[in-house]
Amino acid sequence: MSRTLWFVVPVHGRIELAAICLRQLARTCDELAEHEIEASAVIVADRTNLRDLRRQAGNLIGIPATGRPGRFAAIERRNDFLSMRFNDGIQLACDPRFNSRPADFVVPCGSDDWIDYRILLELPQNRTVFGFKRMSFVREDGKQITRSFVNYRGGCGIRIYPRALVKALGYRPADEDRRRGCDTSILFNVTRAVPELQVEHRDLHDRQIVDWKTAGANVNSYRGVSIHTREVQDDPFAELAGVFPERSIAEMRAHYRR
Amino acid sequence: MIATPAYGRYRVTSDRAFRDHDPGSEFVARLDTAHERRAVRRRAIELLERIDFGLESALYVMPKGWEDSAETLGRSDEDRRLSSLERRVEA
Repeated sequence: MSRTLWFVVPVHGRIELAAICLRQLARTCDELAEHEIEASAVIVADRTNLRDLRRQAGNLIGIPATGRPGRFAAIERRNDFLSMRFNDGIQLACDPRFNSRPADFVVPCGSDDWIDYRILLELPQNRTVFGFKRMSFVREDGKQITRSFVNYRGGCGIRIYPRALVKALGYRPADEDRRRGCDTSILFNVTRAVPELQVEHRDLHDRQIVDWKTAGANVNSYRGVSIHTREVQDDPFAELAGVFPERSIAEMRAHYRR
Repeated sequence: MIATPAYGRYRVTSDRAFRDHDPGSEFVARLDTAHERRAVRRRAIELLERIDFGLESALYVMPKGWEDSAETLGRSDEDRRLSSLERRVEA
């Protein structure tokens, strides 16, 4: 395979939801492999969360404390600063001092996100970051889904960075001490470090990225992201059929029914 | 590319929060040089030490089989260190 890509996924709490999203991420990686993109992920969490995730998601999750590998890489880091955990993951993905096969591209994302692999088939070149403006949010009760347009320079928080761009910041592009706004911090710092950086948007459809909300657990609640909403529908699972695998949809439907 | 500031370990010395850090708390950051100088001068923070900070301070494990396949793919050390994409960006 000619190109490699790693997702960077910090996890804290919401273990059952995170496990479903990581299983879906594994399916996304499988689809990318069919298209000559070798994809993996690194999970960044404290010891307790990694252990709990391993119980839920099994062999997907490595355990650093015992050296037991999983399908995805894992980093044990305290939960103090979200941005530090993004930096850890990006560094493990891309820094040849730690990874003998550093990823060509890195995609920071949330542990409550689904990504349609099709938006990752085109990858950025030179001084370019790909971002995405169209996405969907699912309400905390699982009974409503938006069609949203995040009209920021970088789009929503999920972006594709070539390794060379994060190398410019020692492979740790986010401010280390941020608890929120980490995606913005990464883009801001990369923009400062890389002259003539371009941000291009690669949108395919409204369901290309899905963010699953949980009551009381999100920095930005469903109501909080309503400024981006263009339309809402009442059955998220029916809306996502045909975009994401039936198995993932069934798992998530069961999660929201509990 | 523009050089990035060095890491520092800081303590908040004023009675007001600094970048969301509470008074008296310590934090690690890579502050812009001028920003750091101003904050230290007005006694908002104290620089405790310059540090190397990174993944060295965390435990990690790679994906199963990821590094084994480096040999299979036949990537040279040089390829691993500097992809053609990086060369183009650095040019």
